[in-house]
Amino acid sequence: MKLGSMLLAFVLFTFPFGAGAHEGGHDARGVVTSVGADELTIRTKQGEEKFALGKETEFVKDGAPATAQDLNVGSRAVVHAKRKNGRMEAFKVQFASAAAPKKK
Amino acid sequence: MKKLFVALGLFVLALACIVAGGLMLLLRGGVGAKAEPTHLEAAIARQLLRMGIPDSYKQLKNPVAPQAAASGRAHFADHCAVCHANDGSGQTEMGRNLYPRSPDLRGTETQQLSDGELFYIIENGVRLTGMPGWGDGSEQSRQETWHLVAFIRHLPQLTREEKLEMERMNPKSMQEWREMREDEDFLKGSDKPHH
Repeated sequence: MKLGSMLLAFVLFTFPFGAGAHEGGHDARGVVTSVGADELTIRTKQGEEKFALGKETEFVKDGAPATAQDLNVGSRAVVHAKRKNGRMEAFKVQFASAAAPKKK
Repeated sequence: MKKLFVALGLFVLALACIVAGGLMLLLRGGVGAKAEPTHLEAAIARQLLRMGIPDSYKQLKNPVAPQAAASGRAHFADHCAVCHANDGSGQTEMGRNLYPRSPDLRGTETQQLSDGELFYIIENGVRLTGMPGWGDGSEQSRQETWHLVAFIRHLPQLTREEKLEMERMNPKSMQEWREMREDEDFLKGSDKPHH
């Protein structure tokens, strides 16, 4: 058994090359000002923020699966993004069905 | 007799070369987990894994109905998804950085394992990987593990609705709970942060 463990350790710890970057993310809440096939812009309290949209971007409308076509200008949106290829790419966009009235 | 000594000598020499080569690579690259495992290494490890599972387990069939996958899904979201991801892809910060990486449970290499092999891995874990042994020997633990096996079989057909439901079940820190509530309130029209 010991020999087996040593062999597995040898196999698993061999060829240790390469390195990667620590993963970071960014979330933003705002109102959609424009949405295209590959880019989404929202207006947040800090100003406008742009996010790349990719094949893997997930859209969620009112808690249910949706598509980019369901997203309209004026909708409130929460964007969860990660830096990818030098841009912030949205991996999940949650949004409400229409411009919700602001609570007082 | 002479032939035996020559064969033995060659065997020892080959073994020494393998160990020396391994040590050299180990010393050059350190023991970090960032490197991508080579195909050869992964193939050998997979073979050793299958060899290490007792035959008595390999033949086992899942005794629970496929409908138990729903129960397994909730359990998976709570205990397993942090490394394996809700969809079983292994694409989480933990899963991507383990050595070896969390496997894609939807893929052939996992799906071709027998029910009993999956059961054994969940119950006993896998040495020198990030996979812990979850079983405590109780009947309840065995039942829960079989439910997980049912869910792993369902993973290739996981729907987006099921995945969203799992996201709500994933363990969260206080900060994450607060942010989730703030996100929901914002979408409903509120701009006030929670305190």
